[in-house]
Amino acid sequence: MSNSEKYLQAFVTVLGIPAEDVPGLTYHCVPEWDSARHMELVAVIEEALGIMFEPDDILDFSGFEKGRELLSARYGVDFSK
Amino acid sequence: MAKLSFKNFTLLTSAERDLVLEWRNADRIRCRMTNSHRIAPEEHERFVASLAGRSDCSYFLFLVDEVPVGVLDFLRIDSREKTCEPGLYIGDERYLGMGFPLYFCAFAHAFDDMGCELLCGSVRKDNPVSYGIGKRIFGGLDTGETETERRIEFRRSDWLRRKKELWARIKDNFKVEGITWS
Repeated sequence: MSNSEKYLQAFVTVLGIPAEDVPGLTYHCVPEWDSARHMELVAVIEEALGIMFEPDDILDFSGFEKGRELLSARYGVDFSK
Repeated sequence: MAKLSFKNFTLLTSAERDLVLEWRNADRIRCRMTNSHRIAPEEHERFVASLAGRSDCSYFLFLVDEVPVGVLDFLRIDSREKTCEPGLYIGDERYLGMGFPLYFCAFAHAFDDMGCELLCGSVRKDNPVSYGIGKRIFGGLDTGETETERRIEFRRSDWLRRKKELWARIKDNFKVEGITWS
């Protein structure tokens, strides 16, 4: 599974939202993405991609695309693979 | 932009007290409490009335744009030792995403307004999310555990080091405009 697929799958698994609805999601824009699920999402992404979010990045992780940006720029996750 | 406000339980209207009782007795919240029994209306009224003269604890209704959303409390307030135990929950499920700002407000009030040097807390082991927020975002330190709970502490020095950055992120990511207390 590619990093893009792992990242997408984390949202599907934690938020229970169909994959096609995940792009464009932002924190708190759907009831499923609340503070508790946010922390679960962080944990699942960390495990799937083998990284550990810095505390400030947990709060800055405010949407699907923003998360990709953070992971790519700050943790070197390659989403082209 | 959202305005966050906190209203002391001693100032609550009858309707607000009823709302708090409804939240507190909801299974989702009750099962996470140390005292998890269902609270009767009379017991709740007595409890709120008893808060007027107490200095060892304080309870606040949390409002977002004047909509009641949750509860923040400070227990075991010790003004000599400058410690207390904060606790919080979101009662209105539409606002579960406001947990982070509520956490921030708890720390801001305890450290900056109440002058605490140390905050202590117990988090149930079946509540890894609260534990994770406390540890990873607010820099909590593990101080021990029982069979069912983890003990965690927060130091003023860590808060002072982190609060500016935290506030910037809370303000931006949660569109928070300001915080008021009454």
